Amino acid sequence: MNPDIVTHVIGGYLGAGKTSFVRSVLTTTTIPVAVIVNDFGSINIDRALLSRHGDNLVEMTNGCLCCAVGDSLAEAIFTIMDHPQRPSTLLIETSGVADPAAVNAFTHLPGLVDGGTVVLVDAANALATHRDRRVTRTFERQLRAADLVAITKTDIVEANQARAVVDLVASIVEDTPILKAHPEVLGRIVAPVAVTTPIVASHDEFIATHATDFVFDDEQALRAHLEALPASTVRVKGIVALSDGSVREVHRVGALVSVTMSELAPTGMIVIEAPSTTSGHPSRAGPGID
Amino acid sequence: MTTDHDVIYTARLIRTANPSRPTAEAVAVRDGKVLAVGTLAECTEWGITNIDTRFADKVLTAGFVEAHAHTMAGMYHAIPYVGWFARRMPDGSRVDGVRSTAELIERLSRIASGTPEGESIVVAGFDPIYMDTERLNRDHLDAASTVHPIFVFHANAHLATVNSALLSKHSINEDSTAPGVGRFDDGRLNGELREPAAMALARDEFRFIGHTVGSTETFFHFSAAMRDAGITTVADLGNLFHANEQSRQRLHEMTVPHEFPIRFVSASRLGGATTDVDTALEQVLASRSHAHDKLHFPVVKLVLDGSIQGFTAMVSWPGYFTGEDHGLFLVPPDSVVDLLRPFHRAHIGIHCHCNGDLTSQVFIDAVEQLLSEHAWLDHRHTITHAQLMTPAQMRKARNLGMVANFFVNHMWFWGDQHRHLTVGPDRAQHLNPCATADRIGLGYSIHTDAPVTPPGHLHTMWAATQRRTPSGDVLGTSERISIDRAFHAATIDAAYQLHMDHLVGSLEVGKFADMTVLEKDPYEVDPDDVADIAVWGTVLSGRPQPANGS
Repeated sequence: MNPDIVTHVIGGYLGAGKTSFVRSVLTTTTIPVAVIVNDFGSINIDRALLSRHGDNLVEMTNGCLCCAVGDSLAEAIFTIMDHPQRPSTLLIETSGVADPAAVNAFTHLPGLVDGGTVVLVDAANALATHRDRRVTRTFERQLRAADLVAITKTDIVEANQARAVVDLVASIVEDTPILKAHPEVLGRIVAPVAVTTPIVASHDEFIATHATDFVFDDEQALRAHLEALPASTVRVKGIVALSDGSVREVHRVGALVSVTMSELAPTGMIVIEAPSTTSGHPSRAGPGID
Repeated sequence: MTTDHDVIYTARLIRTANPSRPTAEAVAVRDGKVLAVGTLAECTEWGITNIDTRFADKVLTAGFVEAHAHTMAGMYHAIPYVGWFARRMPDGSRVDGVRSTAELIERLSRIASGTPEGESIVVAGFDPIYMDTERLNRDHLDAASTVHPIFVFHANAHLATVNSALLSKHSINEDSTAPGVGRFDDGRLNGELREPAAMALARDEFRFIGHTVGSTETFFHFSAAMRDAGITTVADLGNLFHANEQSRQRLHEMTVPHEFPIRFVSASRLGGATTDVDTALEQVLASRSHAHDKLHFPVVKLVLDGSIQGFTAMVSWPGYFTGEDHGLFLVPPDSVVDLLRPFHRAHIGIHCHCNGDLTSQVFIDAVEQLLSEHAWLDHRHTITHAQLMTPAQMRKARNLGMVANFFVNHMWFWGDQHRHLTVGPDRAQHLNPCATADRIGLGYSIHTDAPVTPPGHLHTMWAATQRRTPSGDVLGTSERISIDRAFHAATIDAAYQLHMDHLVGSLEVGKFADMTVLEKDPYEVDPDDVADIAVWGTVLSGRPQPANGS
């Protein structure tokens, strides 16, 4: 019986960096992932990295699969699930105005499990987008679907604007972790890389802790541990052993925990935190947010 | 000098859609094209002796042109139709409408009795918006069969109702946490699967619909359905045939044979899933290398909002009359110009689905921007559906050289719902404003969006001239147009917005000899009887194409 595929929906308005993020995952991951994207051209994978190019499905030399939505998201999902190289992780990139919750509904299909929805927000345009009454509702609905919100391009806008965007997002989704990250850094954070790979560069403001010594009594204990991690935790990923010798793949995105069977060797767990604030809003994790 | 293929067709009357020669009694054809139109004597001056009198007691018209339909209209050969209104099937047979839950159960029971136990039954087109009865649920469907999984796909395409056998086949039970799995008040599953994610739980049945819609058989049944409805040129508005060389080849091969009974316009679909427009443009241009007399690629399609009866059109203040506004743009409005720019620059026409007036405004403004960047004056970019266009929008659109394709069939199929539920008594009268468009000077055509409404221009002409609803209301007497105006909207004006008016749309020298063959003259019958005129079939490139059952 194949383990369920851990599925992350990647949402956010046009220009937020979803495509850069997905490309980053595909090129840095060391564990094969599958992605479903709007079309191949925008992903722009180096030809040298392709091993096979079908009409709707592309196979990469690192074992990743990339499927274009075409006419039907359901059909793309079934294509991935039926593929002999069954990946353990699937990212579904939504279109710029899609409701990530509607896409997330597909994670209830047998064979998939919800690994958490990440919604990207473009700091350069978010305020204007929210103000545009034709799309205000769309913008807010996307945020409400998120388990984790990532604000991108904060490095190219004025500090005041970055602050205003964070405040806006926080006002719409009061309990959802928010972080600021470049899409490529976000890709490294979300990608299910083996835990020995450096996730964040020393100048990034995230703290990545790597632990290899755990063995958990059972799945319940494992889940309890994951759920009890500090609120500043934005991402956890790992392959850990249980005391009966079986192995679990673990993910936490925002507050959403998922645990699935794994056939890989346990390599430990990596926990990524954004420095917590001092202002009494523990869920507001992220550099400079206070 | 005559050739072997020369022929003169005579008819009781020929309506040419050419105002400078509106009627005739004979048409001479050579090599699939109109050689001459006029009196029999004038036509024989070409020396042609082969006079074909099979249509002597019929009315020939310039072949009807449908600028907005979908190949999905051919799916009923494999998926039984269970909609409210009676329909003609691609094989020529007629299916009665399903007017109640009891009738649906009876229809399904009959299908079940001829289906091996355990095999799935998939039907489509069910439309409860017209019914007052209890909402359809699994218990109703269980009355039809408990040993066949049953999947009833609703006409709105967002909902399916299934029976207990299907739920248990796919292990969908009360523990399901999937959104869209419907329940009774007591928590028991009611058989509703709302939206694609829930419908996909019925994996085999849902995929069967998708595969049927895209199959070659469906494509051919679609072409037969169009011919039977008297359509000679039809635009499949929004497909992905352009996406790779294999499908481009396949489209060419399907349309080349003599037997293929229509002229097919393939409009590639943009937006939504397509964000890489430069590649899409390359693919559309690559498609054009496969064009032939019966295969054309003049325009592309963008869908910008939803539907009024689904409350997903973007409607301006004061918004919807009742219910909740779920209006949405399917593409970020600010990205529309970027999406369309490569096609405008390549002189490829753009048809944009805009049901709400806010949506029409986005497209109109985008075209204004595109024109200021690149002055392609003969663009004819088309607002399709265009149901809620305001006079101000129509003036601006006219100024920009745009045209509309009005969804006049809505006045019949959803007229009462628009008046009482969606837009209210005032706006309902101004939906699909053909007469105002005439007064303002905005060009337009009319369409069916088949299979959303049944194929055929007699109904669109009737709807445009009468604007009558099933309850007997007339919605907007001052928007009614004349039969002559409607006839031109269904022929030359549709050809115009497909950039094919030099090829089809009227019977004139040098254009394709495409004709619709009718038993009666639409100008002469009682206005309320136009939709009932029998269609013998068509003539395509001079070759008679009888309808199934003719």
